[in-house]
Order: sequence, then structure tokens, then C-alpha cells
Amino acid sequence: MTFSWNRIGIYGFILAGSVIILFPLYLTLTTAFKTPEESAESLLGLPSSLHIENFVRAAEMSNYFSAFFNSLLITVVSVTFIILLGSIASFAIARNQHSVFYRVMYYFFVSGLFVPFQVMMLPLVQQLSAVGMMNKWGLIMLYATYGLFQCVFLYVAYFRSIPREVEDAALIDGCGVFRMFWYIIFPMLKPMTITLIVLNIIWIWNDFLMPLVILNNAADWTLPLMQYVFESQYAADYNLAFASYLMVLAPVIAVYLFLQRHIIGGVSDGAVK
Amino acid sequence: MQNSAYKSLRKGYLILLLPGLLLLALFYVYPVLSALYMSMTNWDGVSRSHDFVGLVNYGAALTDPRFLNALSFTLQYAFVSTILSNIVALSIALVLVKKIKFRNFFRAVFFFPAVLSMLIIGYIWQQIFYHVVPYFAERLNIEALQTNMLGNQDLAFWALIIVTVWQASAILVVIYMAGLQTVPEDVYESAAIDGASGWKRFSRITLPLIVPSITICVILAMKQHLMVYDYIIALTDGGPGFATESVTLLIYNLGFLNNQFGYGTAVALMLFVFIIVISIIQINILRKKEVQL
Repeated sequence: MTFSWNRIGIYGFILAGSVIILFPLYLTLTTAFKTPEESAESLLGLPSSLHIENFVRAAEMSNYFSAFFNSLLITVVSVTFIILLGSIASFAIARNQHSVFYRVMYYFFVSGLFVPFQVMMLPLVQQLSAVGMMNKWGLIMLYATYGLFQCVFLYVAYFRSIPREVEDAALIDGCGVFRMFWYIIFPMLKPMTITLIVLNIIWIWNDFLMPLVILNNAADWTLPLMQYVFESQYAADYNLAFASYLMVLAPVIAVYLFLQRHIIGGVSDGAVK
Repeated sequence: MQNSAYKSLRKGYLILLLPGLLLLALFYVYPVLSALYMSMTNWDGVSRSHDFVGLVNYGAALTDPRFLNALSFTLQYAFVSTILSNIVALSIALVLVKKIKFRNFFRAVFFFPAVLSMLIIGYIWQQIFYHVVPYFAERLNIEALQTNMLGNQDLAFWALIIVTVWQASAILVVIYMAGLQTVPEDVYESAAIDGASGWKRFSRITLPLIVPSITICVILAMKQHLMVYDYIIALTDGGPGFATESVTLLIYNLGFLNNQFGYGTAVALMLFVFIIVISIIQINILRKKEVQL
């Protein structure tokens, strides 16, 4: 490639774009470490030293660690449910496409993709409070259910690329459906499983509306919900607010720095299917 | 022998399907059916009794200025942000599939917003509109931006659009990149030999070949934006006045603040119908434009 104005334009465009993407994160990072006096002096400058008082105060005010572990537990358990129940259901659906029942089941699972949560929101609150499930276990059940829509859609599409000969051979050898699934089929689904894990973690970890309507008890609050509840208390202290935002984003940023290649690859594979 | 093995196989498949089916029955079918019923009652969500009122709630919505305002805001917001985020994402993807230096780094930067919480991003931008934008507007003497954009009826809409495009483009970039990489190189080469200019190559070759990606991106983005909630909560809470009250926020407020469970559910079902109708229209328009190599 030789020097050309065209190339300069291209680099100028993506550099400008990158600055726009990174600016809010730069502002969050620097403001979180500054004192109010420093921010008053220079809004965008670097902090003079790494003050961690903002973080300590924000963590104490909002009960950060409890919310962090709630988010972690809810995300891990829900994603496990989605992958396990979604993969076995998809296997049954994908391998019985000759049967009307299973074809109907496919459309039934996928139909959920188009239903906004708001349709079910008000009835669910009634339903779950009637059985005492307005807590993180009830929320996990909802994620496990609503995650299945996309999970079945993507897994069933993926099964088309997996040859059936292996299964037939295993069945003739007297291997039961369950053992065959676990030892032969599930490992072959790995690329799609990674995609689904990534998509569902991003969704559940960051979700706000479902925790807002389902989690009654402060002991169950997740990180976004905690931020929402405490937001008004940070109104007076700009630096404290940013320290709190940064603490909520930090786990995701850390994971992204290490695994970005797999995360982007996973999302991109899911989109092409 | 053969027959009994076949029977146990069929039973095995059914057992694999059952746990998922059970969850769907409990937390999907049941609430959807009760939503259909509730939307035809005047229930407030608290009292023990309610009356069946038929389609009254649906009729009431169509003449309710608050619902019509929320619907018109939501549709405008969803259309503008879908168009802008797709244009931005496609432009970035076109650059990122070229042979540029640090391509993986830039790809990681542009995808980054997709993994972040929409609520927290909303809060960060709220601070930007409150503190940072006026700070620069004063120095650059731009009168209109010296006060908080979010407090202004017209500017609040565009503030929401900026935040949405900033974050929503991220995932679209990756989908468009995957689509662009399926366009074979030799098509461009023969076009270049025929003397097609850059814009012509893009509009006559690239664009028709990536229509499947455009379909996915437009439908994904439109559905997501019609259901906007987190940004509204973080940035405007529906204000100033009711200027940015989305249909989703209206449903929440009707159900949990105004005790209009029946009416709120009817509004939610109307949102569902809008999403379906708009998706079908988009699929039909875009399918006609699809070409095969």
C-alpha cells in the first residue's frame, strides 16, 4: 500500500471513531479517581494521584459486594440452565424434524423471540408473588426460560451442520440417547455453546428491567439494580457517582480485556447462523 | 427387538424435550395467556375482584393522548436510531474489513460498548450531558448546548439518539463485518477492471450482496429500540414532561404507579403487535432486494 489521501481518510475516520467510543470510558476512569476539587479545576485532566476514597465510600454506601455476588450467582446458574436444557431440547427437536409434533415444538420455542417481556411483566408479578418467588430464584427461572428461545433457535440451526452417521452408529452399538448426547453430541456443539454462553452472560449480567420488577428484597439486588437504587444519593457527588459506575463496569471490562477475541468471535458466529 | 429399541429412543427424545417445555409452560404460556385475559379486565392489580370489559382497554388506548404520545415518541426514536446505528455500523465495518494496521485492536474498541450495561452507560452519558457538554459549549460559544440537553423538550430526543447509536452500533459492526467477509474478492476485481468507481462498486455490488446482513441488523436494532427502557430511566425518566415517555415506560408506570394492571397489559400487547407488524414489513421489503451470486 502506497501513501494516499484515501488511506489518511480511513485512518482519520477510525481514529475519530475510537476517540468517541473511548471518551466516556476515559471520563469515567479519571473522574472516579479525582477529588471534587480536582474535577472543578480541570474536568477532563488526569487525577493528581490515585485516590481510592471514592471507591471505598461507594462500596460501603451501596453494599457493592453483596450485589456483585448476586449478579454472579444469578448469571452463572441461569446460563448453566439455559445451555443444559436448551441443548437437549434442541437435540430432540433437530433430530425429529420428520414429526409434526417436533416441528410445532420448534416454532413454539422460537415464537418467544418476538414477545416483549412487557407483555408478561404484570401477570408474572402476580404469578410469582402468589408462590413466593419474587427473589433471585424466581428471577433465575425466568432467565432460564427466556434464554431458551434464542438457544433453541441457534442450536437447531447448528445441528444441521452435524452429521447423523455418528449417532446412528452409537445407537446401533447400544448407547442410550442420554449417554450419546452427553459424550458424543454435546462436545460437537462447542462452538455454538461458546456463542450462547457469551450472548447470555452479556444479557443477564447487564439486565435491569427484570431484576427491577422481580427482586423485592435488598439482599437479592444485582449490580445494575443497586446502581439504580443508589443513583439519587450520588447526585451531589459527581466523583463518587463515577467511582460507583466504574465498579459496576469493572468486572466486565476485566473479562473483556482478556477474552475479547473469543467474545467477538462468539457473537459474530451467532449472527451469521 | 428393533421395535423396542425404536420405542425407547422415541421416549428418550421426549424426555430431553420435557424440562424446557415445562419451563415454557410455566413462565411463558401461562403469563401470556393471563396477559390476554387481564387486558380485557379493569383490574387494578391489588383488589380481589375485577370486571371483564372485553376490548374496552384497547379502544381506550387508541384515544388516550398519553399512549399516543408514547407510541409516537417510541416509533420516531426507534426509526431514527435504527437508521443511524446501521449507517454508522456499516461505515465502520467497511473500513475494518480493509487491510489496515491494528485491525484487531480497532475491532475490539468498536465492539466494546456491546458488553456494557445500558443502564450504566445511560448514567455516564447523563453526567456528560449535564457537566461536560455545557463546559465545552461555553468555551465554544454554542448557545443551545450551554444548558443540559436532557432538560430541553427537543434536544432530549437527540441526546437519547446519540447514546443509543454510540452503544447499539457496536454489535452491528461485528455482524456487518461477518457479512462483508462473505463477498468474494474477485467480484471487486472484475468490477475494478470494468472501471466501476468506488461508490458504484459499493451501491451496485457490496450493498445487494449483504442484504441478508442488513435484514438481520435492521430487525435486531428495530426490535431492541422499540423496547427501549434502560436509557430512558437513566437519562430522562420520560421527561421533560412526557416528551420522552416510551411505551415500555408507560406500561411500567401504568402497572406499578397508576394501578392500571388491565390497561397496562393491553398497552403491552399492542406494543407486541407493533413489533410483529414492523418486523414482517421489514422482512418483506428486504427480501425483495436480496440477490444471489
